[in-house]
Amino acid sequence: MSTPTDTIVAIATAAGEAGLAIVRLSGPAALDVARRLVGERALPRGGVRSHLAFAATLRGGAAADEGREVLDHGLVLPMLAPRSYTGEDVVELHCHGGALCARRVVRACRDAGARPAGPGEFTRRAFLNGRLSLDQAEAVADLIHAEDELAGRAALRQLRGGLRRDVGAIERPLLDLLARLEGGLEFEDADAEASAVPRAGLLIVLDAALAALARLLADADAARRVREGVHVVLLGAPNAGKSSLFNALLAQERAMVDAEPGTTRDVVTARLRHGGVVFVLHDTAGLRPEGGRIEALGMTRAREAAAAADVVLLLSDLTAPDGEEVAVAAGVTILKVATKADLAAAARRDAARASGRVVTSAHDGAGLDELRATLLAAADGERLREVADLGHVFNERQRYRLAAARDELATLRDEVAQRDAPAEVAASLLAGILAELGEVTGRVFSEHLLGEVFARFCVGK
Amino acid sequence: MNAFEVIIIGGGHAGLEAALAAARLGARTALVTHGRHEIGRMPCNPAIGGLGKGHLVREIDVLGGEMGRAIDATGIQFRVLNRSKGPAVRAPRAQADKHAYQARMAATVASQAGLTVVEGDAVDLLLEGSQPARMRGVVLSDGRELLAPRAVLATGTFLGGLMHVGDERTGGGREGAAASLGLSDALMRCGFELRRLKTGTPPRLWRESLDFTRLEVQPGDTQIEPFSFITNELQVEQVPCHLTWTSARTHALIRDNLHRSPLYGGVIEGTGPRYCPSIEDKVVRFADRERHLVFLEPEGRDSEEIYVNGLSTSLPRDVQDAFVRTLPGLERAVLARYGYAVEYDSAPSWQVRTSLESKPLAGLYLAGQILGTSGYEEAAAQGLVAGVNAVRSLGGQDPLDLPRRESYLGVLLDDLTTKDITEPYRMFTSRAERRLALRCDNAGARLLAQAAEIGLLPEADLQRLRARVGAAERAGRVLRTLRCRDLEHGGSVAASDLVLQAPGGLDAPPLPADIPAELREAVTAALLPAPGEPALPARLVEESLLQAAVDLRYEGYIAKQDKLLARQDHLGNLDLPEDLPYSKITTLSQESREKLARLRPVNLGQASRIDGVRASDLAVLSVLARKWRDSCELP
Repeated sequence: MSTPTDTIVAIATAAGEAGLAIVRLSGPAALDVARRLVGERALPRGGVRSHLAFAATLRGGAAADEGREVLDHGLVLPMLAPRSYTGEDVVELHCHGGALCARRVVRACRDAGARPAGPGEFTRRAFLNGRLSLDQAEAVADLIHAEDELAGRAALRQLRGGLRRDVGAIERPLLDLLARLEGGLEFEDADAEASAVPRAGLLIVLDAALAALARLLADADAARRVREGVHVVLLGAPNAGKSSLFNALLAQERAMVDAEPGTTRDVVTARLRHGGVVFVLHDTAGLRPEGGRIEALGMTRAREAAAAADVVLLLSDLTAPDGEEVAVAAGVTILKVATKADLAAAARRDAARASGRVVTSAHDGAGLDELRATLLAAADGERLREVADLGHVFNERQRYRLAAARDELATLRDEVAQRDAPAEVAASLLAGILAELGEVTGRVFSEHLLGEVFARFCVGK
Repeated sequence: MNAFEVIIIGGGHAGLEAALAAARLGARTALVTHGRHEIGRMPCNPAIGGLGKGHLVREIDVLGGEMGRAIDATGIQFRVLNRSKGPAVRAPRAQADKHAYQARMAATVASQAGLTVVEGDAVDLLLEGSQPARMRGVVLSDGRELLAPRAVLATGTFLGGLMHVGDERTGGGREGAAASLGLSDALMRCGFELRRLKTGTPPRLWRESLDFTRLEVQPGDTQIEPFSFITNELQVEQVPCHLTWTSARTHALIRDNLHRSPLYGGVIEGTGPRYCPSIEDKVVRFADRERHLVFLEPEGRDSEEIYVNGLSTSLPRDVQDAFVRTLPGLERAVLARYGYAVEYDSAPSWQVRTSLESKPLAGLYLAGQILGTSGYEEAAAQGLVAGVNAVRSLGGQDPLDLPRRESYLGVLLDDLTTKDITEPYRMFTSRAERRLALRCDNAGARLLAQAAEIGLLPEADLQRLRARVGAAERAGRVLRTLRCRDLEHGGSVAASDLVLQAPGGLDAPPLPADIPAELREAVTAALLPAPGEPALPARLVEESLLQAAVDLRYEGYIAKQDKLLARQDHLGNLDLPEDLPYSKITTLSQESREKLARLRPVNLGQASRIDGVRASDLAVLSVLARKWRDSCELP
């Protein structure tokens, strides 16, 4: 970790052709750098005030004030330490000229003494300055990674303490239980006997905590889908029209389409937004008994992708004879889709519909809306929305810790229920479980944990 | 004649352990006390040991301290507490004949070669040099000067001692003993911060005024487990304790007179211990409780006085007379002495290192209540450590290394140096993260290396300790490796399974009754002395076997616990420079800045245990400590 002595700069808004781009400066020289860009005369008459934006012309180049190249006409928003995101002096330069213009402003800032920020450096400074707790810092990482509004909403909620609150609700009765166990151990008299925890009571508290953890973890998979998107794999025989459907759903020529069977040899991936949910579509190699070595490799990849998918679209060609059913791993939702409806006889289409297939045509777009709606239902869009609202979009590290705590809690329960573990053992194991839960929200420190967290940041936030 | 190597100020449980340790290690030692008759007194309860405390006594004993032997020799009732719970939370406790205990300690001190007892009142410190100043000697109230480069301050409740009974206030360290008034100023001149603490003691009753027919009897154990590994076997005629209860009438009387309590009248400014509350505190804080348990403990075999454990109070005498008589069996009780509270000066323990040497004044060690602890055992533990370390530093040796993962002594030292102790501190087993591993039965195995390094134990005793530890190790190896005939199902079975699956779990006898003969023989052979080892008395053989079985039975749990602790352990690897200017690190929270500046943790692990220091603070420290060490500058 570097020490925050210098001033850093980066584009804070996402890459792309948005109308507004924000360049953010943070560090002791943030104001000086901004002053170099706008010139002394553009500063507000009463002096720069925190959280008060002013309009200014941003200029670059080596020449004196008025002679310098005009980069943009924008807004300057100073936020002075410690009342800023990083806890340092922060200046935001709001550019109107889009990404290219923003890049030129960044260059001008660098010329004026700022250093390009490393990944996650703004947030790391915020964390080091005590402006964010660890779980809040992680939520920021998720916010940056959020691909759509849903994930963004969940990350925002966690930023406000959603997960910490829920884990805290699990921790409190356990802490209380631990305190009572300790009381019974430390004092040997009738008072202590009276306050001792009976085994049945112990089991009730443990079971309640186990159930609460199970609920949190049940949300974990949904949470993963909110964060990463819902993985949808297109599977079917060669030339069943997978790539055509893939392109039609995306409304762009993403996969190479050819009448020659076996054109798609690798898995091709693209993202589709629909109904507030991100779907990650995977186009795969067709599955058939024969085929060359490279094609076989493609088929292996296709099967692997299907096994890891949330939803598999199983395609059948209405113009081809019925083939064998492709086997898909248990636990994956399967949607059967009939393709090339425009080329098929009406009787064939009706039969396909009757057997529960969604009948589509990539050529004229028939059935695509129905397919999107079916996908959204299969992905349980409502549930994803709920989970996002609960602030339960935890990342893998948090899920892993919760699962570990759940496992240890289950072990403790067994020790108590089956082996009648004495109180000092129960207390020791319980203390460990509380430490585990503490790591979910970062209450317990470990350098490893910090490394894990900060490795996930991208530049600019 | 007035030049020594180590001066000990105070002859209580901390001071006498420090004095004996220093003298036994060969240092010319002076023990300054108000009077020879004050050495080893028990001004509060007539008992040694208990949970956490019994653990400490076992550890003190293994390292060559005196407390365990003294209580074995003068105890009149012995009990192992928590028999109904697991072995890790069991500990010995004994009622002492407090006069016999004190007499034995005074005699031990008097006969110790190299130890001079100086009767007098230390009022000032002699220093040399500055930044930091070094210890040079002590001035007594009569003007005498004692010189020594090392001193241990073990003043108990005597520094600025002020006793309260109702609105009566008397200067003094305890009933019938004058306070020590000059030293507090001397300490403050050296830069020490002092803090007022408070403790209290219950009334004593005349034995003959009690109606024993109305009291419940609490006898001692039929088979006595001694404290010291030196004690072969204890056979004493035991004296019973008795139980009674407070009642609604007691509580009403106390509530009605609360305004006359110096504690509630706001007269006492010191903070008292939460876990050892006065009866006033109990009545106020646990208002819904109908009764509180009271133990009646004899102060000695022939003593006419009974200690009323559970009724610590500073209410006026007439209230004490009245409420004591509301308890069953005490209707006609006559008070031999009244309960009182005592306020005293302590030096918050962040001012010492884990060696117990003070930070403001090099060569001055602090031990016992002056550091904010409570209890004879906690005091003795610190006295021993301070005495040993004072002598070690004279010879240029490093202080003892007592990590908290290996002993209650280590837990105590680490807590003293990382916690901002605001009320008298007592040991609890829950303070030890590795409670399952830090047991009374394995104190020898845990501290054998340190015992050998310190060198306080005479060679013969050290050999016996080695033999005791060796026997448990060999027995444990047999239990872990031997396969024997399966008497129940045929074929073979692991000895460890027989031990682990014995009905009764942790409480099962170390070797279940119906085990194959070869296992019994192998274990018996393992417990025999190895070549060159002395033979052990039967009780130590038994204890070795028990330790081996308990080790095995806790093993899985300990491994689980250690796995969790290991995650935190690496924090101990990053040392924090002693001169790190915390007050200038503005990226730390204000609270953390103040606490770190005061406590000055040795490494990041210690910092992480300081209450109020946050994860983000540790992240900052991990960065800045490296930078400061490399360049002595901060960003």
